[in-house]
Amino acid sequence: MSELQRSSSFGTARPQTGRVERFLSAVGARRDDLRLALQSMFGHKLRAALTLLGIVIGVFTVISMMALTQGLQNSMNQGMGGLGANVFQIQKWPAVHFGPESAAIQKRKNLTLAQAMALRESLPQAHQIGGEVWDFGKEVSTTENVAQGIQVAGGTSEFFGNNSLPIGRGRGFGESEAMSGGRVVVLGAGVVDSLFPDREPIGAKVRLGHLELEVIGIIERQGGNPFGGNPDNLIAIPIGLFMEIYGTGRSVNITVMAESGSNLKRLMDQATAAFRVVRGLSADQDDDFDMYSNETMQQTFDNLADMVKMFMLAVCALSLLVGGIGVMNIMLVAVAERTREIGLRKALGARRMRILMQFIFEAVMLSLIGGFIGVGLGYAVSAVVRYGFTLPTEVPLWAVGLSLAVCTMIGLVFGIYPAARASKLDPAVALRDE
Amino acid sequence: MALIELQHITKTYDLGLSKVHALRDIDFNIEKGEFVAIVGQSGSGKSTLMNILGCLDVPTTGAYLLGGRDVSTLADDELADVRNLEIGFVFQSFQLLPRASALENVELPLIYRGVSPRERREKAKAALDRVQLGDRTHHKPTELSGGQRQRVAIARALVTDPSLLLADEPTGNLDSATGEDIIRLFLELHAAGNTIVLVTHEPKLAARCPRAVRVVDGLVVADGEGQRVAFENQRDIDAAAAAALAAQQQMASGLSQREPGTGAHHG
Repeated sequence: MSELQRSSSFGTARPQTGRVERFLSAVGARRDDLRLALQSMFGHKLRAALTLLGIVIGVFTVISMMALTQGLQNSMNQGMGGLGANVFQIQKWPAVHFGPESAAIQKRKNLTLAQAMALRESLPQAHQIGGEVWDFGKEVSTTENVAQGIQVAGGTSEFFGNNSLPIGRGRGFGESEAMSGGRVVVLGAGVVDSLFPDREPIGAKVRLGHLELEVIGIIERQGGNPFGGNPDNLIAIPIGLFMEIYGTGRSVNITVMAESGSNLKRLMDQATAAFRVVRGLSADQDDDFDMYSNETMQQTFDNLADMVKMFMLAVCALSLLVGGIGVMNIMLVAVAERTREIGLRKALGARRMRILMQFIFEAVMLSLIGGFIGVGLGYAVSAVVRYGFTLPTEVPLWAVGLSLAVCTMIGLVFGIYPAARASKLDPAVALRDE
Repeated sequence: MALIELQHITKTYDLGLSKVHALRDIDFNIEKGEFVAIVGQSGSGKSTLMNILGCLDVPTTGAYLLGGRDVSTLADDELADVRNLEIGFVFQSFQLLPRASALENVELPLIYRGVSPRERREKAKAALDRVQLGDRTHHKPTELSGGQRQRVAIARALVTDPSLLLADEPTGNLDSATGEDIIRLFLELHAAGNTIVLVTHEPKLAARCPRAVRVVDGLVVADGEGQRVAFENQRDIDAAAAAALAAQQQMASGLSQREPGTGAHHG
């Protein structure tokens, strides 16, 4: 009669009844589902790999792009444009601009040294106001050595303070020296490395273009900042000298330092008003210059970075959607292929939920593996950029978490339909499937 | 009380335009420890009957009492539990998972019963020993012969210690010598006290079973000692064939007698 006793319990309860045992059995069941899912996946490696492509690309894109954007932001934070903390700059062109400049911006007239001097007069509340001009890719030499790709700045005496490029040794140029165009030069640490590897640079002569200049000071080493070039590969000369060598065709950037502790934003407003007068603008005309501080630059860049991030997330969502459809497709194929197996499992006593779980698990595993591969590739790209291009990339953990969570969701969402189809198969019919 | 009571079972498939009466009125019992063949030609309804006996399907009308409990009205998941706890299936095409080892295949029904991995392993090993495959536990189905595969399937059916062993043409994919081994294994299992139902279209196989039930057109037409049911029917077939032959001969001879005069007009 043992059958009868056993029979009385079937249909309503499994052999184990305690809550703990039931939980343990459920955990055990999930482990078996996991094993079954992995087994079937490794049975079809190529197919699984192809299916995962969409998800891998989606996750890879989001991780690597987030790392790059984060790297750019880190880089901005480390050495933003070189401006001092309470300094802003007035210039002809917008500081951050993408796409072709509008006609109005194209028509702007250059800022001149005279205008900088005029602003000095009309903005006495500023701590100091300087003017500077830049050129790039120049060659500086001594009789023994040559340094190429050097940035040349022509500045007034405020140049070093306003760009937070403190003099390490020697001195900067004074006001009259700057205006009259004395034959002197202050070298960046990188230039000293190239030109004076083994002798004292101060007092020595270097050649810039056709002129011989006396080295009067050395700027403190700034350290590598890949964003906007190496700040140590720089020389500063008096602005008068710069114009003597390169002409007066360049627009002058005007740097304004506020009194420490004063309100930078208010000073910027006052400077705008004062400079409009200097530029001779009437009330109905737009500003024909741009103004930025580290802070506004940072904001602009952050906004840009946020836009890039949103865009990348949208691209990623699209590619994950495609990946999800791929997962659903392959799961439908798997269900069709394994109809007999499903029939067998049901014949052997698998409940609907077990079949459902098995296939959902498989779908989740599939998309999660894709997610992990994508994260791995993203980290790899981040590392390559970090060490290859010295951009301080950083994979944001939230992006990893989000990607893997989204992959799990994709597996769940796109796995449910095929799994439900599998679980609803009639075992008698499924077993006869050819 | 009988282990299996089939009470006026009918099964009708509704194909939209027409209805197929696969089982018309099936009514018999199987006692615990019996070894019964259900024999019939294809289309006789024996497969439908097997599906109902195996709780893979439920009858349209009538009652199926398994171990005293009516299982003819259970829902899918309840039927799954009944199959898991009460029934061991053996199929014509073995139905083994190709990527799993013999041991893993035998463990499968225990997974669905929630048995711990260690206990599963032990029981599966014991079941494989019982079918003389204790030394093939880690072989994949592709590394086993047909007879060995079927024995793995039988081990899988036995591992849950079911009330009923249900075999569907278990020798259908095997050569006669291997098929004979499998039949002997079933006879041994019967001798050891297992209840076995064997579904087949072969009278010779049915004749090996102590009891046979013949199904024709969804009805039981004969039920009794295996040899008698199988051979009785064979005699019927022989008789029918002989009668047909005789009639043909008679007709032929009649024709030949008349042929000289009327042959040209006849036919």
